[in-house]
Amino acid sequence: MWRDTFPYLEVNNRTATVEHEATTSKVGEDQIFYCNQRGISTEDAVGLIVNGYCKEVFNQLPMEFAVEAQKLLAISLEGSVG
Amino acid sequence: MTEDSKLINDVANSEYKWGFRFISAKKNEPEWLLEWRLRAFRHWQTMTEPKWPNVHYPVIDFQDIIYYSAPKKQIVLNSLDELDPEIKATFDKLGISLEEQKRLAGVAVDAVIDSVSVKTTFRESLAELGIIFSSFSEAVQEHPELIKKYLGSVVPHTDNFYAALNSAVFSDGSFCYIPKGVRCPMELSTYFRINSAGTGQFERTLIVADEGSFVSYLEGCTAPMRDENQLHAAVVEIYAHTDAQVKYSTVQNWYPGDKNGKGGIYNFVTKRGICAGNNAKISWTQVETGSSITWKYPSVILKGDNSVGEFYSVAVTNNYQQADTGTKMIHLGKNTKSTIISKGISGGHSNNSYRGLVRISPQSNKRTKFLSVRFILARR
Repeated sequence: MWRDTFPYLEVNNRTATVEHEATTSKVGEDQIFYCNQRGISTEDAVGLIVNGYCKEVFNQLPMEFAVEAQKLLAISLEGSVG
Repeated sequence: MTEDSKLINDVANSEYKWGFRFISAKKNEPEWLLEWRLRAFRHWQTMTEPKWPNVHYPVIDFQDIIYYSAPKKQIVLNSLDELDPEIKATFDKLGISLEEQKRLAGVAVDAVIDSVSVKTTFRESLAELGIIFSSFSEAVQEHPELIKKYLGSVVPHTDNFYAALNSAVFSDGSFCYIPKGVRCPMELSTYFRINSAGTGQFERTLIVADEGSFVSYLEGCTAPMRDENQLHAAVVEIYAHTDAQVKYSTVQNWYPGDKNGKGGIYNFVTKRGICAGNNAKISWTQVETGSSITWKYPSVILKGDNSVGEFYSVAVTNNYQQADTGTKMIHLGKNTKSTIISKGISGGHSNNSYRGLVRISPQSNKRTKFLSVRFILARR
């Protein structure tokens, strides 16, 4: 299993502004626990958390695609937790 | 070996075997396009497969790929009711009814099934505005001057291994031209499907947005379950003139292989746009959930002053899927600006890499916001 980033930045101009950040994280155990406590299954909880995380990108999609993308995401991740 | 049999042997083992003349003749292509394919092919033969991506797969036998496959029946349709019931059933299974799409969403669909566009809808209403939206092969016949001018202008045949292969053997794809000052009133959409076993799909998409125009283009992909590996090496080119805006959205959910990593699509795609004029804008949005291997870097060349490039991506990998994806933003013009937001979600034994380049040339000064985020799903 690899999760890598290879960000190449070539800045040849002093007046340019370039920002970069990268983070890696897990789906929080306590977030899942919080959802479980409220009767949301772990699978559903992961779907919710991941969809929230991707919202920034999904907001860029046209409406019908955004709906499809959310469903797709949930299906793709089936069986990845638990 | 006699001179004659040697000649036949050479021919059988070289370009003819790849079916260039076959594809070209079948599509009734002009001589210059055949020459273009052959140039690309000759160049491709001198290239080696890239090994730098963070993905692993068995050696591909490029001779073993069927480079052209068309639906058995060539049908000319007057209405959607005449659509082949089998093809219709495929659409229904996938939950996409063309009529529904047509009526509800107001989306013109250019359905690509096994490389040949079966049906293009909404052409007439688009044509009223001067918008050309057709299959690539039709555009070659009807608008050869545009194809000749823009084909390979953003992704030349020398660009990379898979782009060269695509340039040589591309079967069909979509062509879109938005004339000066026209705002395309609907989202243009192409559904790509891979239907017959062992068929390599080499789609070619070319989008040209003339001065001050706007278009939003959707590309959605689904493929039926299948056992063997399928290679898909598409090329997408976007050419944006002064003040033009192009928004390109992809949802990709090709067969990712089963839980043990068997089967699935190899998705080796070259996508690039150029903001050729001042104040042009190109925006890529992609949601990548399928394919056993994804190798894809939708990029923007920011050549015009004040041009803007955007890249929004979600890449999901599970089980044994592999993804090496990201973008390139090449800043050439003054005050150019780019934004990159990349999210990766990985579960199972999958590999998921972000690979990106932001290059700022000496003559350009600009603001660039660059943000890359990774996310991991833990297996318990």
